[in-house]
Order: sequence, then C-alpha cells, then structure tokens
Amino acid sequence: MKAKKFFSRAVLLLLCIGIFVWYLFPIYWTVATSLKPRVYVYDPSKWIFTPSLDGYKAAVGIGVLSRMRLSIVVAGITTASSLFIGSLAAYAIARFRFRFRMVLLNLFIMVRYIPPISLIFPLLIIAKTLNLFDTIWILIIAYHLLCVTFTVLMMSGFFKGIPASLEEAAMLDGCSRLGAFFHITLPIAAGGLFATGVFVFIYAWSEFTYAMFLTAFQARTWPTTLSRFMGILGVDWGALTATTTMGVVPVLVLTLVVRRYIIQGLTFGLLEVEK
Amino acid sequence: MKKETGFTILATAPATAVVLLISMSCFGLLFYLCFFSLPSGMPFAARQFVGFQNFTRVFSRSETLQSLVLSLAYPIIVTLGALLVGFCVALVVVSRSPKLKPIFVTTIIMPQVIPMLAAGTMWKLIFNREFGVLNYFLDNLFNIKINWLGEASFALFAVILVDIWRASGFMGLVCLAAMEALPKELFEAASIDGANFLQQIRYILIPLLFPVVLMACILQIIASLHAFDHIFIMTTGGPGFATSLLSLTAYRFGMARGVLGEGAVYALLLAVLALCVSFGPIQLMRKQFK
Repeated sequence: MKAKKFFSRAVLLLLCIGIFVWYLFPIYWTVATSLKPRVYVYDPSKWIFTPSLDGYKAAVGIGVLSRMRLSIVVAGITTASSLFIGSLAAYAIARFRFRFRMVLLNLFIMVRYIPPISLIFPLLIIAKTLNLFDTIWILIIAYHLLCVTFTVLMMSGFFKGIPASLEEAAMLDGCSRLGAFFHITLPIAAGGLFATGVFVFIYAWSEFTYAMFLTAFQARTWPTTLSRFMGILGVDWGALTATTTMGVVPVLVLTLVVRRYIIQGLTFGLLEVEK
Repeated sequence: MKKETGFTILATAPATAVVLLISMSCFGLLFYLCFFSLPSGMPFAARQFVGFQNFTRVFSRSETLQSLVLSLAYPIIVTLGALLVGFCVALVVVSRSPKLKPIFVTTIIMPQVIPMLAAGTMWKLIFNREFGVLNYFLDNLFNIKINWLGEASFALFAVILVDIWRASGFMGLVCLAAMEALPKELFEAASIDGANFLQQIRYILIPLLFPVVLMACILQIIASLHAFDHIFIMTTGGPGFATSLLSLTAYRFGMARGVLGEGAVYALLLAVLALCVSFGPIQLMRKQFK
C-alpha cells in the first residue's frame, strides 16, 4: 500500500514537471538562446554559459527599437479609438432591445471570424488606390475591423452585468443618458474596459499578416522584422530570438495583469464556465 | 424600460459604420478581384476582365483540393489534440493542492497569448535540423536526425504540433475552469458507490464537461482555420505544398507568384469556409443575448 502511494505520487510529480516543460520549454529556449554569446547560438549542447547581450545588440543595430516604437503608436491609436467607438455601441446593445440588435451582433461575430489573409488582397488594392500603402493609417484601418468587433462583444458582456437602476437614478437627478454612461456605467466597468484595452493592444502590437503585406519600409511594425531576419544567407538566430523575446515579454507581462479576464478575452464571454 | 431610439442610433452608428464600411468594401472588392487578372505590383487600372478563368484555373489544379482538405483537417486535428492535452493537464492540476493553482494557470496561459508568429519562430529554432534542440536529443538518444521542416509529413506534423501547443493553453484553461465549477460531492458520492477513477471520469466528468468543451472546440476550430503566421514563418507552405492550407495557398499564388486574381479565389474560398463555421458562435451568442 505504501509503495503504491509512493508510486502514484511520483507519477503525479512527473506529470507536473511534464506540464511545465510542455508549456514553458519553447519560451525558455528562446530566451536562453537570445542570451547566449554569439559563438554558442548554434550549439544546442551548451546549457550553461555566461549570458551576453550579443543578440540584443545585433537586433538593436538593425533598428528593432524604432519598429517597436511604431508598433506602440499603431497599437495605441487603435486601442484608444476602438475602445471609444466599441464601448458606446456595446452599451446600447446591452441596454436596449432595438430592432436590429441581433442583426448587428451577427454582423460583428461574422466579421470577427473572417480570416485576415482573405482581406489582404482587397486591402492592398484599397491601400494603393488611396495612397495609404506603407503608412500606419492603413494598418490602423485594418486593425479596426477586428478591434471594434472585439470591443463590442467583450464590453456588452460587462455592461449587461451592471444593473440599469443605477443609471436611472442618475438620470432622475438630471443626468443625460450619455452622462450617466460616462459617469456611472463606465467607471463600474473600468476593470473590464481596461482588460479589453489590453487585449486590443496586444492584438495590434503583435499582428503580423496585415503588417507584412500592407507595408514596405516606412510603416513596418516589429513582427515583420522577424521574417526579415530569415534571409537567403541563413538565419541570424541570435538577433531573431532577441527580437522575439523583446516582443513577447511585454505581452506576457500585460497578460498577467489581466489574468482574471483571460477566458472572457479568448471567447468574448461566449463561454460561461465560471460563476 | 423606455426606448431611447436617438441615443441608440447615435451610439451604435460609429461602430456599425466602421465595421460595415471596411468589411463590405473589402468583401466586395475581393469578389470583384476573382473575375480579373491583375499581376501584383501593377496599378489597379491595369486589371483585365477574364470572366471565370481564375476559377477554372484554380479548380483544375491538384494543389487546390489538397489545400482544401488540409484546411478542413488541420483545425480538427489541432482541436482534438489540444483537447486531449488540455483535458489531461486540467485533470492533473485539479488533483494538486489549490495553493499551486495560480502557478499552473499562469503557466498554461503563456502559449495562448504568445503571438502565433513568435510561437512559430520559437519552434522553428527547436525543429532546426542542424542545431535544433529536438534533433540534439534525438541524436544523442537514438542516433537519428530528422529533417523536421524539410520533409512533407514531418513538416505537417511540426506545424500541427505548434498549434496544438498553443491551443492546449486555451483548452487547458477552459477544462480547468469547468472542472472547478463542478461540485466535489458528485465525485465523493461516486467513489462511495464504488466507482473507480476512470469510471468517474467516463460517467461523471466527461458528460458534465461536454457542453462547455464542445463550444470551446468550435471556437478553437475557427481560430485554427485562420492559421497563417506560424506556418508562413516555419515552412511558407512547403516543402512542395505539404503544409499549404488555403491561407498559405492564397498567399503563394496571390502574392509570391503575383497572380492576384487566383489568390483572391483561394481567399474567397477560405472566407466562405470561415463564415460557415462562424454559425456556431452566432448560436452561442443568441443564447446569451436573448
């Protein structure tokens, strides 16, 4: 009996280690490779080494930092504007039962599930025709499609949970509907709004398909630099892993901040597993 | 509640306008492009009407059927694989002490939030033939080296594995949350009645989790249907057309070979496929907003 218990505990422990290895090893390996001195990057047998910043220096030398700055600008503008547009619509959808409510929701869901690669060809034509090719504006326009729909679906879930009586009380005291929304509802939903903003920001920060094909030189965001390192002469893995690490770390940190909302963020509250 | 039509219209108008304008113009143009021949890099004015020529060319190509089948099979394989991994992980985590749970949850989240492109880069390094860590282990243990991204079946396995890695985060989270919502008494009662561990899973856990997990699977299938970034960076659809899902085929004909019209046909095919599958989430949402 004792041996059996010991055995099952050992198996469970092994399984736990297996879980950590499965989920974290690729991340660990990338970070570790980015910190390897240049001579060891192509040597997987080297597990212990003195960390060096060779990879990061190479990445910065190619101009990754300015690409990241551009990514922040694009993601910031997209987030601010789509949060504003989206949460207003989400509020109306959550509060009122108007005629085209379901039509609108269906539209948003369908648009949410159009594969980005399908829109590349028309967007390319639009960008060229409107002289927006290789500017941040075409990226912002393209990202709005997904970000606005995401905000509407996500925020309407949060607004539904807030009792309407609070706003009605404020409106009896002479507040307008818009005033009640901004002063009563929005502050209560601040947590959800923040989480939504973070998800939208992460999406725009790391989006690749549009950024790759709608820009050439001026408006390249950081994900596109990854494919740039894979040239004909082979891959500079030191710089590549360094760039990956620099791009992924902010995403991981932001995610941990909004950990509570992650399932809602991944399914926009379509799945109700908790509560 | 009294209706405030004016406010409703004003509040929904910007979002609706933005989404409708962009999506409709894009869709219209995509449909339009399918009937034209336009070498990429040329101005839009250089287009030529070719009727159904793009369609006949696309459908007479053997690669089309292959990428269509791949596009259908890939999401299903990924979802089932991720479900299996996620379910087992959730089972292990649930059976550990609740103190460790935050660490596990943080770990499980990680792959899901990493951008697909970055995930592709990470795994491309691991799968590398000469200095990838996977081949390093295989070489030391069994004395074999596999050309992971260079051989058709291995490359397909590799891109599927990356997506399973990522999706197992989502599936693990959903399974874990769903399992924790179940009352513990159910399992205690069952074990008093003499049901062993496997019977408890088979007759209590799986039936109770089924509705939630089914919905999660539908969402994951759609997400995997969009797969492009990691395959693009790992194999660009190669070797040959071994990993060319519809999205990759659209890119390869429309962008790399510069036949915009044929790329548009593939893109349209993919969009129609995605719209068909998005019927699932629409049903889900109807339930919530009714």
